[in-house]
Amino acid sequence: MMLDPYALFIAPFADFSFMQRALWGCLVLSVSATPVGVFLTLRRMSLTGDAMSHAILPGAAIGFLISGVSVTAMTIGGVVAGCIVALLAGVVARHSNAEEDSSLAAFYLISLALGVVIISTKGSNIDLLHVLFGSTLALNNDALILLTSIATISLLTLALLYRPLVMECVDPAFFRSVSRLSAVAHYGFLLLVVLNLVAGFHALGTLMAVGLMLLPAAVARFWTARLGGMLVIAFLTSVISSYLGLFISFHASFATSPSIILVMGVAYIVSLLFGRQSGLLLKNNLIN
Amino acid sequence: MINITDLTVYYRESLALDKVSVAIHKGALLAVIGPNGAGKSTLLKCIMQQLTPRSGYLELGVSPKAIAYLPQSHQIDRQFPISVAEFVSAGAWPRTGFWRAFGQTEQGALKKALAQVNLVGVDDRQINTLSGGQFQRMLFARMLMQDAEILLLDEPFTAIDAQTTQDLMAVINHCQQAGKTVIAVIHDLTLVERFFPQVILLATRLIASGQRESVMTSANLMQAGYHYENNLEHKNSSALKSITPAQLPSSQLPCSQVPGSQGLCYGGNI
Repeated sequence: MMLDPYALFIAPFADFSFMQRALWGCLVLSVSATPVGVFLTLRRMSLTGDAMSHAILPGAAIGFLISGVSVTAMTIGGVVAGCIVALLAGVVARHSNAEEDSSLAAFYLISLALGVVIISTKGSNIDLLHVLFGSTLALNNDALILLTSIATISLLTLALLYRPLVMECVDPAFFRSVSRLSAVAHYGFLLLVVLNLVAGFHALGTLMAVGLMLLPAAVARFWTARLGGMLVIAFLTSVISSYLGLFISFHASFATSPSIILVMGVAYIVSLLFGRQSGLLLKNNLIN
Repeated sequence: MINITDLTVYYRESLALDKVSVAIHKGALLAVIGPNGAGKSTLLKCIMQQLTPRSGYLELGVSPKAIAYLPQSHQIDRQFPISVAEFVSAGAWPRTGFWRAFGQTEQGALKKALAQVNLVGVDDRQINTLSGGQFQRMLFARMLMQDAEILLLDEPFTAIDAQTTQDLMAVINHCQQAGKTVIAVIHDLTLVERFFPQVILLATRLIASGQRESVMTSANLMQAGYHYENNLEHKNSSALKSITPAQLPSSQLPCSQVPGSQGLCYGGNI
């Protein structure tokens, strides 16, 4: 069999509109979700992101219960549920003796179970798979418009919040001393996390959405010690992984969103081993 | 001038400050001392208007924007990918805010602040590559960038080498001579002895305030609880001896002076 590079790498995306839509969805998601993910990991809130991605499920499920597979209803439900859990997690962390990570774990297990139960009352197993693992290859116009809008809003908000966010991460005590807007930066950022998780939920499903946010950020950390560099590397990792994931899933008939996340996983393991910043197999690390 | 009257602060149900009254004059060089949990950092937060007191009030002679705060260094995320110059630039926040440009004037102020703390040539380094002393110098540079009227420092010399302490103390003196008010929480009483003419001694309530000699008497220090923790270790020694040399200001301090009777500050409830 002749290996024609065009047929192999380009044709799937040139010939099939569902592949184009999937690629577009993943690209706009990379634009907005990866910078949010970089800040999420820098604030050591990876687990919070994970918990919130699951928390979206019952909200989206209630939207589904009311109006079926409707982008609008599931989005509104997801955003509302995500915001509620973000607030609850903050309150619980501040006002109870429970460790934050255990309360987050509790929240997301409850949310996941609740979401699955709600969907199972009305929907089929197909619907359930759709919600859990997304419908990357079935993104309709509504979903694409939603993803693109969320990406636009996220980028603009991040640009506005950039300075406060950096200060809130590095030295929150100092930031509170110069500005009353520390809470605005914090909750504005959490809102961005929720929005991007909801966007990711449409493309990749609730279980995989957080992967596109966190894995590229984790990869970037191994290659640069600069914030600007991290944002760029995370974005590129996400774009390349999305393409490769779609490519593999097309030719090998693998499930799409797990393929994309797995490619990111490979990038992560390679970075973990060979990364310039504290990679495990770095010469200096071996000597020390 | 800062006027504090009967200030009472709770963290939920636990009492942090109990009816503290004290006046701090413009241009003071003041150390806040007291055992752990005495409410020292709480007092700073009140001055910054970050806490709402349960009762009492606090008058600030200036706008809260004219306060610069130097937090304890362990509260800072040293692993965050940010350069020294970027970190220090945050001191320009009152003038630049969310998105105003960091112009020529600010660049000049940044250079000057870095030079003042002797941190020239490391502007481009990441903050996680700095030594403890360099890191503290950087915090001071950011505080200088703020160009504030009142400087609040929370344990600025903890775990810092002698040379850095001396250099940074010179920076503080310079600020005070320029008419700024300096209020520092200090853990090491020998530093207070050497550098701070005025002292507030806290143990949730105000034990004493005023000139150092009248505040740091053995009687006051013991009343604040300094002897207590040491007594646990040296049960056989007398209460006075059990104050370790590092904590005992000096043996010839007068013990009978009435605290707060002279000097800059008034108040106290003893």
